[in-house]
Amino acid sequence: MRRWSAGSLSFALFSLVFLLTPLVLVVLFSFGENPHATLPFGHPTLHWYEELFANSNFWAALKNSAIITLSVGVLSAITGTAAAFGFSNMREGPAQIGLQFITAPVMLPPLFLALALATAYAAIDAPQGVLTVIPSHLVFTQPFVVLVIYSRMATFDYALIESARDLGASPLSIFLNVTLPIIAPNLIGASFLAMAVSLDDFVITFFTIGGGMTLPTLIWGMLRTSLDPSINALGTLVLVMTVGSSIIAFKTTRYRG
Amino acid sequence: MTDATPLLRLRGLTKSYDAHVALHPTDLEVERGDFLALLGPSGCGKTTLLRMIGGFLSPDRGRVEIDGQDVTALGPEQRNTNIVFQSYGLFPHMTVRQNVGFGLRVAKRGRAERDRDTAEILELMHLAPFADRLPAALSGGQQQRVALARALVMKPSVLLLDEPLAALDLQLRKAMQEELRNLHHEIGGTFVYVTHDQSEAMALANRVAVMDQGRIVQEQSPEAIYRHPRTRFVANFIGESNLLAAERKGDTCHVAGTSFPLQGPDGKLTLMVRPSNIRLGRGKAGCPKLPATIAEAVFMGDYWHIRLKLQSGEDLIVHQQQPSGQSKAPQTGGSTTAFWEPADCHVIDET
Repeated sequence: MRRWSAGSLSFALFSLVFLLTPLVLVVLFSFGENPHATLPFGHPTLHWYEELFANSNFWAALKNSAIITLSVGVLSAITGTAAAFGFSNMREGPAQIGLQFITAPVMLPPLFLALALATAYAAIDAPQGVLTVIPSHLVFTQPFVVLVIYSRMATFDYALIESARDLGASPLSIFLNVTLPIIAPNLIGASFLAMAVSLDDFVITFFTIGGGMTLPTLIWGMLRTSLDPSINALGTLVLVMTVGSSIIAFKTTRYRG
Repeated sequence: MTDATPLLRLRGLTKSYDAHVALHPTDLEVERGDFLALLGPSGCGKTTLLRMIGGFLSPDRGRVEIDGQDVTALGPEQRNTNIVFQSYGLFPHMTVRQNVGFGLRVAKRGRAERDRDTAEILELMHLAPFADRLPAALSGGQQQRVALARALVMKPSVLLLDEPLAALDLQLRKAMQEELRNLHHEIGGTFVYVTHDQSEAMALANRVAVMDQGRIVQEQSPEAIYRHPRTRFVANFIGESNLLAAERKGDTCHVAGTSFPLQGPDGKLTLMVRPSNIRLGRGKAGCPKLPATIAEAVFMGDYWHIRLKLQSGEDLIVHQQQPSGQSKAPQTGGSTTAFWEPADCHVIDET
């Protein structure tokens, strides 16, 4: 192992503190008695969580977020896998061009994407709500699945597929019995990654949901009227769900010998 | 269909990739019970040919017939052939038993029949003790046997093997060769075996098709190919050989400063003599005698590998068996005379 110099070590520590302090404060304030979310924290309490759970908007937003996140997880797994299979059957050159196109929404500024989607829905007179948010999220969550599965297929042993064919299996049977079980850990991981990204999206949701709310847009709405620590409680919950989903994603996608 | 129909018949099979011709128009017939080796260096088209028999690759032109039926348009899932890949292609998430039973399950055979057939083949291949292990928990040789069992349990008309032993080390390869030979004796069946290893082809097959640059250049029994190679390529590829430039005039062959009677038309030709058919000493009446000096002698255990320099400047390789009890090394730089029985040299038709 390489030794760290005192300079680089202190710079790393400083960066870590700079990045993590706001997160830590949000979490700490959510458990403190002080109603203004300022120092000192005051006695530890679950009061702000009780207040949050008593708020009917919270439950409505949680329900929407759950519907959107789970739908996006499942749908991006399906469309992302289909796209990745398509690309992995193409030659390298055209496949790379296709990948650039399909993953472009991740690179685009969210505001631009949100505006484009809102304009498109308005143009076709689509009533905005959860059903417009789901495909909007799919646009930028699906690329994660496409990239993960495409790179998995690059090292896939195609002799397995040929063997299964040779033994008489149909394409569907090959997919269900051979390909899917082998890529399942990667697919589940990619899908959780997609859900983590979907769960904490604000901009695109805000532009496409119309009158409804999700957890992030609820935070925004609450911030405008008050700044009491139940927002911190909500923020903490979103943090736990997003980080949890990401941890599952990274654990399951890790290559298993 | 009669027994006169070959089990597998290829008619004018052709395959090109852009400008590269992978397989020139090829005909081949394989009889029931044959163990045919497709032998050649990499890129000679042997795997292309095998994949076309299995249905993984469709020919540009030509026909594949199995049991008198044209199967050219059928995919591998519709052909009564099964293949063993070099990388085995075992399903990593299934146990040995599930791997072997996969084809039967897909074919929707009854549970009892599936279990019986699977158990039978696992027993035959000495895999019963490993039946519930995953492939990753098996050695290379065991994985190889699982791949074989998985193909054989389908009772294919033709079993295709694509360099199945190439990933094994030498000793295991020898053992598996013996096992394959016994298996072929035991269960019969028709095997088509791709290999680049001439000794493997000789050890296993009753017929060998030597391939070079997209063509089958000679297709005969291993012995016939060894004794009478049709081209320079075959002579060099199958075993060691000496190829000497010679000329025939009036039924006399002139080679490396000597001559001996050899019937045939006048003209230039190439003579092939196997190193093990050449002897050193004073010579013998009726044998061609070539004066030479010993350039190099290497002890190989069973024989001395000796490189001679002929007066014509050509090299001549001799494999000299040591009579038991004698172990005198041939003297490098010494003069000697190489000779062989006229029947032991073979004329290669030059093209």
